Amino acid sequence: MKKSEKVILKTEELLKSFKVKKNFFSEPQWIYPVDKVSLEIFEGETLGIVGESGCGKTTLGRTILRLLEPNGGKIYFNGEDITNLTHKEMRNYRKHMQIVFQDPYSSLNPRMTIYDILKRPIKIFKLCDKTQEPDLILETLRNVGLDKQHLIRYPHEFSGGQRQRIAVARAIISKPKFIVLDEPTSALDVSVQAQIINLLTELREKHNLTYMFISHDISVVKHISDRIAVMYLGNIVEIGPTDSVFYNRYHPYTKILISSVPLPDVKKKAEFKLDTSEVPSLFTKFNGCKFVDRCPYKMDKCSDEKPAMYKVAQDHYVRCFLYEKDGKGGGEGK
Amino acid sequence: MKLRVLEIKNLKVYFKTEEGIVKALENVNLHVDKGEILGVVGETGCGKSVTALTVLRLLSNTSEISGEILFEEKNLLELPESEMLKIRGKEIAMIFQEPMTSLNPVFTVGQQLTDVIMQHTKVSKEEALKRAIEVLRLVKLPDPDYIVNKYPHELSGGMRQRVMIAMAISCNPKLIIADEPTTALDVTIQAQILGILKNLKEELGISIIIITHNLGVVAQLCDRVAVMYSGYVIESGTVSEIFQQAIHPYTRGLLKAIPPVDEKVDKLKVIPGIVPNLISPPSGCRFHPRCERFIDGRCNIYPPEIQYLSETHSFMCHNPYELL
Amino acid sequence: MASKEKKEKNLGRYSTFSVVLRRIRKNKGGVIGLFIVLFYIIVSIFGPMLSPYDPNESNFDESLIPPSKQHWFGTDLHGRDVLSRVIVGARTSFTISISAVAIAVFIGILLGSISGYVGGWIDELIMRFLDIFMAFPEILLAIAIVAILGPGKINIVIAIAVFSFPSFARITRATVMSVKNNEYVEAAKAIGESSWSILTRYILPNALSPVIVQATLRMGTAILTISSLGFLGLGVKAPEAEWGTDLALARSYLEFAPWLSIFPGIAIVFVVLGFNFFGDALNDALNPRLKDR
Repeated sequence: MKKSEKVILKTEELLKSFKVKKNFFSEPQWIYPVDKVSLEIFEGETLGIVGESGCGKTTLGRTILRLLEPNGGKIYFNGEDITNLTHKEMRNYRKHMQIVFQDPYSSLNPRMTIYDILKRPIKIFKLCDKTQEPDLILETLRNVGLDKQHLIRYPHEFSGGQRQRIAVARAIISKPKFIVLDEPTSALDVSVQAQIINLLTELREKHNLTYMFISHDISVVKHISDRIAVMYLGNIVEIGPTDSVFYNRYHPYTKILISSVPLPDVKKKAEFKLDTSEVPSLFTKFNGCKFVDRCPYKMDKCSDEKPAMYKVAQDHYVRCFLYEKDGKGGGEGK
Repeated sequence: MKLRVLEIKNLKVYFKTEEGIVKALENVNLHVDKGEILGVVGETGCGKSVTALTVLRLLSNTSEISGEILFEEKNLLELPESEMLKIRGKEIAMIFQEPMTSLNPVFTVGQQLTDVIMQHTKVSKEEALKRAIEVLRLVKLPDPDYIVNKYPHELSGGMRQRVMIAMAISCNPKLIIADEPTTALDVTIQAQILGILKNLKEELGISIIIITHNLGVVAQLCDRVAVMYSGYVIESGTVSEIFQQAIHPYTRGLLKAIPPVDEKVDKLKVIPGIVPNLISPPSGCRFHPRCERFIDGRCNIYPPEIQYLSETHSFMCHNPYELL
Repeated sequence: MASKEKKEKNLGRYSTFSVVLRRIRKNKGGVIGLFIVLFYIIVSIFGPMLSPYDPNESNFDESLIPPSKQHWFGTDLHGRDVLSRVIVGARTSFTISISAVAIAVFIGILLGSISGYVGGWIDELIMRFLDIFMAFPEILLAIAIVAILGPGKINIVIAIAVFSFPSFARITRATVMSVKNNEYVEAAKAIGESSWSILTRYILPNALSPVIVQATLRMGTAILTISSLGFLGLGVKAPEAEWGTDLALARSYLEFAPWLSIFPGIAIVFVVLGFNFFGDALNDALNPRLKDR
């Protein structure tokens, strides 16, 4: 997993908002699941995105691929601005930027055979001519561990793990450079999850893929990612090399998040804290840092000013005033 | 000899379905002692939820149930429904995975709690309300007087789950069965709920069966573990025995399939194949098609019997690993 | 073992179809309904070739004969064989009803899918347009249309199609709206599918079950409407054989020639019930309710 210097995907102050009614009787309000997010993903690396409900990681993944329309900011793929392209123009880029969804039970069209499902990208992206079609489909299917006899079947005849393999096949058939993996193993059993994770790492090596791996399962993210970004209420609050984030946990939220993960290790028994702090809803308005109500280290300025990203180590940035003196503002994250 | 609160012996449950008979549980054996937390782990189709529902006799559509479920000397499978009504909610309480769908959306938290309390104990409405507020406090909900008047949708997922737990303990049950109580919750909330459950065991002496697929939860919370696979408890023991001295190939495979936290591995160790079909399961030991310790002529013909490695550590396997 | 594997292979391609068939087989009403419907269709297609007499051939010497060996259902006022008239009447009602329902389904799916997929003001517009039609009781609307356009088969087809299409549009809209939120639709966007492709390849194929059920039930309504219009004298032109029209003619003779009313009447009842039973069974088969654990 050598990190190259080439930036495959970049976002600048990416904004995604929704106007939502809190309940039937209230006025619709704006929420910002992606609140001016800036990041860079380098060729060949896997960037893991972790966070809890409302952090915006799923929205971020979809907005980057223009499956949701951004409301502000910019998206660059391979240096080219794709933020405002028409859908027809996007089609040329979609060949290179694909996605695998979380739920294998609903991400495949129940009325299409596997052959049909894999044929569509070939037709749309004009990947090969008609005579080569069956070969390309079969080759891709074999790459994910399935075979010829599976082609005429329908999705409901397969197990969750097999369906996820089909979803991966659909994503890689156009030989993309960049794949967003949105909780690809969360709906699977532990043993099947291991199979899919191994498949993904294998394909990554084979084809020099770049992954954005979104998950709430921190141990899986740690296993597969080169860098981790921690999100909270629409912002990246910490981003850096995996081990550095996992063990140093600079941001107060990162501390709580990672220490909450129950480890399958009987020698390391955790202390369960009996507090009741929870993630506030996206409707809550903050003038300053969004973590202020739950933060044990809060200072006066935290309620009034929004912290920027401060460098704490090599390639490692944290959005917290505690680190303001240590680093200079700006850098990779804003 | 510790006091056994619940003991399940040779439980067999089959279901009648459109496609055939689903042999969900074949030979389940497990027990919970007083004041301990038992974790029941397994993957899809192992039968952990079916086991829980069978204890409380909440199943329908069954074609066959045999075996014994002993609760305080009584076999629950033989009790008439009128007797079961006195046990459900009062002696044995259950907590489900989705707090939104287990709480009635058209009643306030207070109404639902007092309903349960008055159903099982002979108290007045005022006393029931007092008890409701008391249990809400026991689950560390802030401002219980305020929460009693709220509707489920006004509370967050974590708070609703606490309400469910409060409801479960309101009538002083001896046993709580929690079916994936934290799977739908965020990791930080999960930690809080697990903390509450641990607290219930330590301060109130309630026994808990927690059903989960998350081995981390089991390691941190449970005293003992039962590992299930396709209708059997294939290995069971204290949490140290299972995590450090597992001998069943499936248990070992499961432990190795989790991404390790402290080391870096390139490839995760995988259990090949998929979970068996419950309508036509493999002959003999149901794990044999996926097992690296498979013995032809034995594993595919004879279902394994329960054996004991120690007083606490049991397993069902023809060819387990050697203990180091 | 071998037969089980073979069964699995066969079920592979058509498993939805055979599963549905199995479920219908279990529903006794559905099986009866299915047989009635099939019988009706066969009679409609092949019946007139096999009818013993020409249904329009008058023979005043043989008028008002009760059921006998030569005339199983008897004869009417004009000496026409009732059995033959009932058989040919089947074809009449079948051709009209299937045309009407087909047109209604086509227009309904078109409007409903645009409405459900595009949403916004187009949805509002189409919905209000449908409301206009749904405001009228169906039979009244049919009567009004036939009164304006005049009697005759084509106009009856139009009348039935007009009061039927709104329900198809509504149903299609509802299922399209729910299906379009499925992840496989989003996956289709991610591979660059065009909106039209998404609608025709991904959404509609998954939205059709309720439409199929409704179409089956609507056949029953249509047949009933044709007969009702016929009964009211607004149906197909005489002397063409049609159950409702014949029923109207039979009214005055109910006391002493009841067979003139019984046979067309039973035909109507059977066929409409058949479609209803089958439609209900189809509904249950296509939307199996989750059984308790």
